[in-house]
Amino acid sequence: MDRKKIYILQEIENGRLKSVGLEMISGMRQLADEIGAEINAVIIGYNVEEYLQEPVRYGANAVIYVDDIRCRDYLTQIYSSILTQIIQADKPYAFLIGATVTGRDLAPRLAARLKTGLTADCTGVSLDEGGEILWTRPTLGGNLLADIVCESKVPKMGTIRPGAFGRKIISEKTDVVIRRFTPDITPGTLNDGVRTVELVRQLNTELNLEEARIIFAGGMGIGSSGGFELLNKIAQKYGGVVACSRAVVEAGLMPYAHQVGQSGKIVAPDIYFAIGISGAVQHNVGFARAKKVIAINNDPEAPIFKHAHVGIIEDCRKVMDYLLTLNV
Amino acid sequence: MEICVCVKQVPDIRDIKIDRKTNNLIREGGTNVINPFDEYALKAALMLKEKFGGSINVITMGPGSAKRVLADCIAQGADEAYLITGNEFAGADTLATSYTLSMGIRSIENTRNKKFDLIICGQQTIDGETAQVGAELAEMLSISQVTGVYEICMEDSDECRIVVKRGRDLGYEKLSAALPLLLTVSKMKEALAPPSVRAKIKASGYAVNILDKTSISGLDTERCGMSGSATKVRQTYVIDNSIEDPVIFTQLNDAAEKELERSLENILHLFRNE
Repeated sequence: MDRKKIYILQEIENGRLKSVGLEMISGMRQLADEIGAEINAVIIGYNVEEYLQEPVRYGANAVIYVDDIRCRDYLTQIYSSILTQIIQADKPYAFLIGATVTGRDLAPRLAARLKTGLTADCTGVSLDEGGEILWTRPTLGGNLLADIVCESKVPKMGTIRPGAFGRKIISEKTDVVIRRFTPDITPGTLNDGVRTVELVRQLNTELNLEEARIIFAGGMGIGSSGGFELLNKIAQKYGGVVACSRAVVEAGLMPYAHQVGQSGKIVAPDIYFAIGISGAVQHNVGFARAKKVIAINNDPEAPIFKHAHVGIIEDCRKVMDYLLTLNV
Repeated sequence: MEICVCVKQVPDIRDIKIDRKTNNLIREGGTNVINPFDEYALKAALMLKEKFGGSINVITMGPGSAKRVLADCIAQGADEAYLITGNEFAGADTLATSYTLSMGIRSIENTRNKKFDLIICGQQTIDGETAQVGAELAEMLSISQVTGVYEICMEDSDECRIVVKRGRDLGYEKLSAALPLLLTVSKMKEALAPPSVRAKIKASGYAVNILDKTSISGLDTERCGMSGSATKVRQTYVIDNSIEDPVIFTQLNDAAEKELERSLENILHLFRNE
């Protein structure tokens, strides 16, 4: 019998492979070994040559790619048509797509076409005792985790939250097959009336929460009166990045891109300062992978203290002033 | 423009309560509301109807109690409302839900002898949060989709094409999409205003159209509800990322200052050695 295949879609953005694609390879490597499966990275785009080796460094056993000028920008119909052709030809056991804006548009379209099960926004993928894949996702507004199974259909599909897995370059070099797939893209097969009028890329190179190593996150406890200005200064001083809770975004104090938690980013820094954040469960899921959490809050009952390695019960401003004057 | 809006009755997430023994949602006493994203879908439909004419038809799948959110949509200005209901539809995942909705929509189209030009859904529900049903429904109906729309560019749109903006991971894109089309909408600038008392009274006398397994022609009940679901919930559990022995300082004393200094020093030292 052929080895099982796990297919993992890579997305190209801003001249590089998106981190989540490589994270999925790292995150699935051990699981793949346990069920004797090989990992195939799938790349669709135009002029993709330069990206083909990257997934191999993270542990992909093979790379399948489509290189076609009509794939330069993402459009639902063309991408889902190509992936359907690949899946029907290769019959993978599982198919993973990043839970990005593109992935969340593409994956359900594809799952419906293949009449298979898709689990959205997974934060974990594991195996049960019988070797069935458990797709883990937060549910009910982040109050619970649910393990979802797709037992009777293949490919088993899931979209994976960026930042949910750490990515890791592994040194082992195996015999890697890099294979070009030539899809049938005749215009008649695409019922596509959607065309791009304008694509505006707003690059924010300074903000990369998912890859930040020091994060200073502020909540409503640091208030509006220059609290975030101060936090920005602290972040600059230590080479960190400013994040915040949802309440802060809703109050209009910080843009959404800085939000950590269930409906924001999942982060994994070496150190996470939670300053003036009470610690709602929806926020806490966002920093669960931080190596060290330091919470500062003037309310000793704040739930955040149960989720921090170090807690300081103190007026936030006082601690922030100290951080700003501290010399390390 | 013939528009169909898909809505869902959801528990009000703001006062959600979990039974810590069974890990189930405690439904008693909890209030149900229309999914907030679906309100934007209805608002978009109202704006399009105002400009292009036509009709707005609202559909939901759910228990009998879901009639209330449909009545609210009528009060807001929807023309007709349809409820797909029955035990065979319960326990549906997104695949079964989108199949059932697609069959319900086809059935309405047959009855009215008119195809819909536009289907509008909220991007996601606040209880399931999958954001999958819209795209799955578009596939089942064999029409194009644009997901995560936050603005409809009215002045650029006409009876044949809708121009919209959707967010991308970096930036946004403006798309022109030919009808028929399915849109899912995220938070938009325009929100629904509370309906007038007169509209509410009128809606209270409205009889919701019921669709069940016998009235939806060609329905394969094996593809509905639990039996039509490709995914199942194996188990749910409480997220516990609490730390066992946290070090707590009751004020910013010398020891706390030392701890902050040491933590930052360690990490910055790590950086310097990389």
